Amino acid sequence: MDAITRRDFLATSGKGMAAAALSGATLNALAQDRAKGANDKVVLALIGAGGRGTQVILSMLKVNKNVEVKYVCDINDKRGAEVMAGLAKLQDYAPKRIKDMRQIFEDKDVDAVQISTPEHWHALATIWACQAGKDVYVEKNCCLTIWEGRKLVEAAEKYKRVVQIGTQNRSADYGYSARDFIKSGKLGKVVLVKSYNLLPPAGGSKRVPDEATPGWLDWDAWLGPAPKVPYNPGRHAGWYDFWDYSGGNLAGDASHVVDLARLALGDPGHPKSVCCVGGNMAFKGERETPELQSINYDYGDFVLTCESGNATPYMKKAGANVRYGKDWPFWPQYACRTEIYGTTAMMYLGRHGCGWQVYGADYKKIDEHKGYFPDDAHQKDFIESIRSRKKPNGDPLQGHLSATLVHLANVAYRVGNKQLLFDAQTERFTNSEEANQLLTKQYRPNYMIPEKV
Amino acid sequence: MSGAALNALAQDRVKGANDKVVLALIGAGGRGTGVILGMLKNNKNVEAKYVCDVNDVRGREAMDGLTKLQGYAPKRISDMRQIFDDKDVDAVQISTPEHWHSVAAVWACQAGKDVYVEKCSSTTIWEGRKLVEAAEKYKRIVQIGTQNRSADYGWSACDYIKSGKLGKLVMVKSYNMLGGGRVRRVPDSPEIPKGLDWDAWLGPAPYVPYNRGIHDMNGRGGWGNFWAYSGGILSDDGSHVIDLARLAMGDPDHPKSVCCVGGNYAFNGERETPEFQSIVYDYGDYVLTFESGNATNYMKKAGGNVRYGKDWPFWPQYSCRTEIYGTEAMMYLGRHGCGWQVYGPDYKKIAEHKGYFPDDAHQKDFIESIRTRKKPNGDPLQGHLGASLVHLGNISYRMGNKQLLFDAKTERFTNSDEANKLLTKEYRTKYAIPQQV
Repeated sequence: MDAITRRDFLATSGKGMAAAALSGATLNALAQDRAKGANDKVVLALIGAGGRGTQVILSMLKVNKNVEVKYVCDINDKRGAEVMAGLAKLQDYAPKRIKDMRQIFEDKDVDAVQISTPEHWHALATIWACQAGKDVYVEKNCCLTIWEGRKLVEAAEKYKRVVQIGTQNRSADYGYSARDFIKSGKLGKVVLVKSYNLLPPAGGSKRVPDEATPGWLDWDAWLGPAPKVPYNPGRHAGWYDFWDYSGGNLAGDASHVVDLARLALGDPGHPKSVCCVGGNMAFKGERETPELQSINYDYGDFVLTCESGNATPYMKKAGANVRYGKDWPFWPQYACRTEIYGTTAMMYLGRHGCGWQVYGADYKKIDEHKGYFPDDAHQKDFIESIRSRKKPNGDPLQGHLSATLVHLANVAYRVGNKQLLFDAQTERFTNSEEANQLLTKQYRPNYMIPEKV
Repeated sequence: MSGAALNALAQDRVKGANDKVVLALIGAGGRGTGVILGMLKNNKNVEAKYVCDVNDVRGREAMDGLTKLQGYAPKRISDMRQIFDDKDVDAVQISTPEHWHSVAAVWACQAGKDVYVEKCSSTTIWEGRKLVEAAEKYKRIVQIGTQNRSADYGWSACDYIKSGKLGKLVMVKSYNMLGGGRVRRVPDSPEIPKGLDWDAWLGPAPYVPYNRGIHDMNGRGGWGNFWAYSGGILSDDGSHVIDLARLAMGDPDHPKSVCCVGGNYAFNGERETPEFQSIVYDYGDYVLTFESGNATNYMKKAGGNVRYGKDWPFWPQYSCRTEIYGTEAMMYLGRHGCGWQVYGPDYKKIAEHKGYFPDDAHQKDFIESIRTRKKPNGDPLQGHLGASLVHLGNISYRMGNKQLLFDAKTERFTNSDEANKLLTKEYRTKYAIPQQV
């Protein structure tokens, strides 16, 4: 059985993963989903050995017992030395350094993968992993389009996989206590929620010429589902400037902020409409993803706004003294705050260890909950979820709903700073066919996500 | 009105710096009273010949105060047309509810009177344009009660931004986060209160039976909750904030689009004008947002210590702030005496300009403008452009929280005929503003 499947898999791999994906159900039948003991060994594989990927996988081992990494996969030969060395130290053997993630999916020793690639690979690699019976940790933003996010939800469900999105604030207690505080009515009725992601300048202001593909890089594999284009160092280093690979700063960082805001609001469904006004109005750069965007979402009985960009160098993310210490951020210049205005009091809410504070009239502090940076907690939750088969914090549905806020705004921006009316049931726009075209995207044949995952 | 004929009689010649200016007050409520007394206190040789109000209960305080200040009692009348017919009167102060502002101001212009009119100077975009045209055609001094235009901090903020010290302007965020509670409708009253000319109070608005929810004999009343009389709190108070923001931004023309999301989702009240609204305006190379409502009782306007003293508002809970984000620094800007402060990284204060409440200065400017025929601070065009932001936000709300694309040249929406219908309104025949003012 195993051999047949393996042969099947290899036979199709030449034609690409679209065909391999079809045999997903078969592979899944082989997957070992039974609950493990609390200390049973969990074997991981890392896909994407950049800075964040390296940091998270090392921590997976440090904060959990009996976790190993069998593979480090990256299509860039220059990457991975740090993580290979770190892992070898932590687990007494060196992982295999590979370039083709499909090797991981074939190996039944691997329980779960950590996907830390650029965004355009997130959903596809996750779905492949689900089809191959692997559990998944995937970085935010978990998808590049709304359709893709829905497919990820479907795949996790169909193949009964533990899929955790890297929205680590869902493993902190402050988001849940903020939700409870708001639910208790102590803010009064919530009327306005304002999320911010006002980051310093970043990203390419100028396009650079194409070049010959360097020998150390499998550019075709890096592109993966994205359209084939000649190697361009600006695309490779600055992929978050391009719609083919990213939702920009809104996806890269605001995704955390709005995910935490949604959590505090009790995880509402999709909004009724989105309106985005944005542009390269700061530096007139040549990036596709905008330098700044201002968004409102209509939730029917409150409004959510989000201002996000790479334009304001004086606004600051929380420092280590806040993330790991007892200090609070300085709210007026804290780049990533959410302000929640009720009829009787207001709450400041911050991600990545900030927590929340509630103020009434005369700035009298009514309540607060200081947090700590929750990466460790998220990694513990992931491994625990793999072992117990419980739903992880940062599950695919919430990941999809939060990511959708990013995509809605970007689509509204891309159709010319327009308001779009969104039907939550069908996940389609009701007032723009042009916008509906951007609900999904074209995939290269070898990298298709099928309609039926 | 035989406006052109009346205008021919108007005395527009430049007066001497101390020549007598005769005013008339139309609308003797609290604000009207305060301003007309200020007009006399802050200027020399200014008198008020009439105090006009359709409510007999009002006006005593204004009458007493004016009598003391000028040595004779103004005539207490209830029909503003008497004022327009009196060639002794140089200028009128219009402090009525909003639905009367433009009609009375246009009538006054036609009669050759100069005008001080409270904000919001119009209830529709069309009406605002007509006021601009009337002021121009009849060469009248028309000052809108946007007194922050007579303070120095708005101009210095504009200069500071223009100098590039904030970097490139990317985002302007205005707030008008006031308190409030649940508004309920009350039944119509069987009788009109004694002493009130209800028909005249309604004026250009559709005739409806007297209702205490709309009008109060002794207080401000609830007309601000109804579209027929007002643009709600966005026009009543938000208009100041947005006017000052526009001034700091260098008085830009109309935005390309507006998108308002709002509703009565604070108290589920029964008012027409929303309890809360959140608005985005697209100015092409920056964005303006505006949050306004009667929903957040813990947010505070500036107190006397800020308006008249040296204290700064506490920006995070100051209801009426504007935040201006550049690529290098950010500015907090506040109306009514606040002024502005600029902060760079680590909240290092880079510059500031403390202000003082500019009502006096505005009243001085008005009288000086009457005497010198100079353009007043708060001129009709800027009043119209500022008021348009209010109307755009409200129409977007009334269309069901829909984005509207606006053509600045024609002052019409390009994506909604239904919205275009709200660019103007029906006037009762006697109170119609003509297409040709």
